[in-house]
Amino acid sequence: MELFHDIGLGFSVALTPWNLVYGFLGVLLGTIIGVLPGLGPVATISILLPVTFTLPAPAALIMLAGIYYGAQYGGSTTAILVNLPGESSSVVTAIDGYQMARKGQAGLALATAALCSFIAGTLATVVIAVAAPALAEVALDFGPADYFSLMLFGLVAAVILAHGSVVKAVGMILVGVLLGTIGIDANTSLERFTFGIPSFGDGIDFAVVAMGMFGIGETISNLEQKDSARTFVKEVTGLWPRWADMRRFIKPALRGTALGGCLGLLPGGGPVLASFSTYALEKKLSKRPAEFGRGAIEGVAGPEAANNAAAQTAFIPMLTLGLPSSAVMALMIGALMMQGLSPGPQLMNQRPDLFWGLIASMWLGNLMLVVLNLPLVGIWVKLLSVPYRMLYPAIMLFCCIGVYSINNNALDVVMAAVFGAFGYIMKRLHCEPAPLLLGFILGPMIEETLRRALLISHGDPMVFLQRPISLSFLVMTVLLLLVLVAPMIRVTRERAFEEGAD
Amino acid sequence: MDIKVSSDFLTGLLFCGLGAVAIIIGSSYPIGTASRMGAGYFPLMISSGLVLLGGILIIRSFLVETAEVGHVDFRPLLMLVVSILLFGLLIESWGFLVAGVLVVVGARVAGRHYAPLETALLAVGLTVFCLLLFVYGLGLHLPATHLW
Amino acid sequence: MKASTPVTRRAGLAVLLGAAAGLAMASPASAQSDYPNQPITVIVPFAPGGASDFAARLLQPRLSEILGQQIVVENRDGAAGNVGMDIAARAKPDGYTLFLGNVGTVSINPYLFSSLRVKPLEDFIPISIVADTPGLLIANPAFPPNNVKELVEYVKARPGEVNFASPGTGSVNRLEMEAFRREAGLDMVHVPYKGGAGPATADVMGGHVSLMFVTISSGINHVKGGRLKALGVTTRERVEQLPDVATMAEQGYPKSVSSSWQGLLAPAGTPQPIIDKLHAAVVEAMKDETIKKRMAESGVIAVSSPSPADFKAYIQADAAKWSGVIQEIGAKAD
Repeated sequence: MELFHDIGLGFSVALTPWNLVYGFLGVLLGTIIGVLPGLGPVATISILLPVTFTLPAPAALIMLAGIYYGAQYGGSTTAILVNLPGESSSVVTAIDGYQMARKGQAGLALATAALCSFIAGTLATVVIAVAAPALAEVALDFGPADYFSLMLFGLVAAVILAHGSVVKAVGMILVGVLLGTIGIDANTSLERFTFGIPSFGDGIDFAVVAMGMFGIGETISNLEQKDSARTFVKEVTGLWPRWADMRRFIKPALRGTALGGCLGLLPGGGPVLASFSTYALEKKLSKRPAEFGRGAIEGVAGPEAANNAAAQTAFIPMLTLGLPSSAVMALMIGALMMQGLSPGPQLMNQRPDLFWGLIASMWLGNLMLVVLNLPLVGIWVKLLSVPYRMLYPAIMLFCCIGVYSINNNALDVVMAAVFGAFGYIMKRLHCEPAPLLLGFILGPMIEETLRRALLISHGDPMVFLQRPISLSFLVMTVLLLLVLVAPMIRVTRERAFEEGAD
Repeated sequence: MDIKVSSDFLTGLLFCGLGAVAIIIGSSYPIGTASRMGAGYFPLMISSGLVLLGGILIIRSFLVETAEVGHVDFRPLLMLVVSILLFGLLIESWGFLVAGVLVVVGARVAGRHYAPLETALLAVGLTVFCLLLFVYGLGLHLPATHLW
Repeated sequence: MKASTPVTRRAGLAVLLGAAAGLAMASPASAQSDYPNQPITVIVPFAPGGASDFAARLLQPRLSEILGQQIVVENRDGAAGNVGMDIAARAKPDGYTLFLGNVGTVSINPYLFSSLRVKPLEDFIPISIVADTPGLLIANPAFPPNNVKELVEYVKARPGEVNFASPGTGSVNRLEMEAFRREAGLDMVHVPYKGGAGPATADVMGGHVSLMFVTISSGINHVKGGRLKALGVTTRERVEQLPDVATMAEQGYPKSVSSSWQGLLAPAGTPQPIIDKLHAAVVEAMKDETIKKRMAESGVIAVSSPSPADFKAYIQADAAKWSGVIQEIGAKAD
């Protein structure tokens, strides 16, 4: 069969001892830098990219794949261990992963994340090998109006992330959306809410908000508690997933892979949308939804599988059409160009060795990730047994270094401090940070696609209803709103005095 | 310090405040029309929504009994935020070593962990470790220290 | 902690990895004369992987061979390239920090951002252009017009109905369209995108927007693959890689000649002998067959300026052209 021949060709290119060394090195470097709070895949890849320029093409590709997955997983590691989501798609992992760590299940959470990422990565690689060209056509069909409706659906779904008050969650989403409008308006070049500070022109970096709201805010409230903070993590149990754990996480992982694989095709917010829509789905499907937010393994498995699958299928528009769907993919195209390759349909036909070599590299990168990280789980977990009085100053220092290194901009650190204070205050007011961050990520895309769709339709709002894709997402949004609002009305009617208190 | 105010009331106040500030600052941005939105259209929609939600929270806090904020310890909040602020303000003029040591010491004080020897060792040890690993090992670009 | 030489993170990494792979970077320290006797840093004001980075890194090995010193490429991106330009402008004018400017940072940004402190023509001494990337007018294959003449007729029959995309409000590709639109008297709706040419190109390919200008390097593969059609190219003569595509000029729009260029500049105050030496080195490097071939593969033309003064005149003309267009559209900003 031709497919097997192609894949065989790919492995014959990728699978040399030296390439494996480069792959391993890539995963290692990617993980080390990705573990620094604030340095997600984009920052990590741009730091390490020039290293690959001196290598021959197959080695460079496999190393890049390693760096990419390493950085991605590094972000999840800090999200689980110390509640610091290193990149946007691990915000969701932080919710339950960190709670698992607090319960002494950090090892289990990390191993689950690695295994689910591997499962998702493997399946998504197969999808790329089999169906990439056909899927790319689907991605092209998505117009601005469709994308707007999908984002709107995502934003409404973000409410499910919260386990407290719905009104407060919606408020936090709006605060996030408002924060997202800071910067130069893409349509008119007008500076909005920049207070005349030039570096605000590009907007506030996601990591600055995340470090502040999650990492610093969390540390402040840990320091406040008299005793519980002194014993940061309860007794460490179950380093490795047992059979029962696997049975719990396999279905969410598969569902996450499917959802993530689809959403990854879309430009921009793919991995983020994927991870939290999977979370929302699992919470709705679960027989024990109350466990979500308190350390549910499904809340780690599903989103981790989803964001890895999405990270993988994001390659499809790039490989088949030569179109980057995210900043990471734009970097990848740059890296390929440096190797004298321009991704697109020609690559597949003219250099099948490299095309299939790249796909084989992706899978090898995923494999390397598991090989490297499963043994590391033990070391990471040991780090948590360091007394908290030694641990948190180190976390704060890492945060500062990470935030500073994103743009070599000291103002970012100052802003992270401000968001730390804000995050703590909101926490004391029982407002959760996750919805704010999702609003912050999705808000700008919603505004952009809304305005673009209306420009294209010359101001006709019917465009959102006339396009079938858009219409289906809008219908789903309305249904979701009904599901969300119905219990609220019931609660009010029954005069329950405290809505969803912890 | 104990704050015996409803947390919903304060949240509502905060949302209203943020929304109002955004409306005021944003009032100078052209609004445009729904079909051809100006830079101010979307922020106005969002900040109005925020004020509305804040209003709901405030009103509801009078109608139904809600939880109080409770005990708040201002020391970790202030100390930790100030030490990170200092890192940001000093790293470019005084360099990474000074800023790094400061943030570790500040964090220790914020958590009431004085133990001078341990603090000093931790601060110097961590900063040097980071310098070796990230600056020399991985080539991150952190400003060198120059006190003179 | 005073480093004796400005070895940057890139160099540190390269050494780390080079050692690991047994590919240690060659650094012949033999100085031909006084300058250069230490590594030269070229500041690229964009992230790795972009067009400017591509040009800088292609040039890097040959240039360091010629100058006998290591060339270190440092990416300092942010604020449409203004961050890197600001850093380079304030660097010591000793020839050891150079700036890889492009049409956006040098010819457009000063007129677009009122807050910009740098005045490129005063704060830098141009050395030589290195890469010239023409613009390509692309359209969805289903869009009826097949050339500029048909396009003008088509749009004139439907004023305000045709949408064109751009990679950003202040991008050279948007300004190219605005210049053409004025020359031809066309009424079209501008749909701005952000995040590079990718998202906008995708929407043209998907048929959501009809047409746009892109750099030839980001459009050429799609045109060759039949995903997009090319209506015109913004060069004086047809380009080698797309011989069937007529120039805008030969289709009746002589003002639509423009380019996304990259060039090397030094901070103002750099001694003239150093400028001349660097200019000679760039001219020599651009003759390199590998560089020419690699650039040509992605539609970029490898060029050099006859003299630094010539490059200065080129920038002045380019800046005058774009500032004029910016003023015109600024008057009726959308």
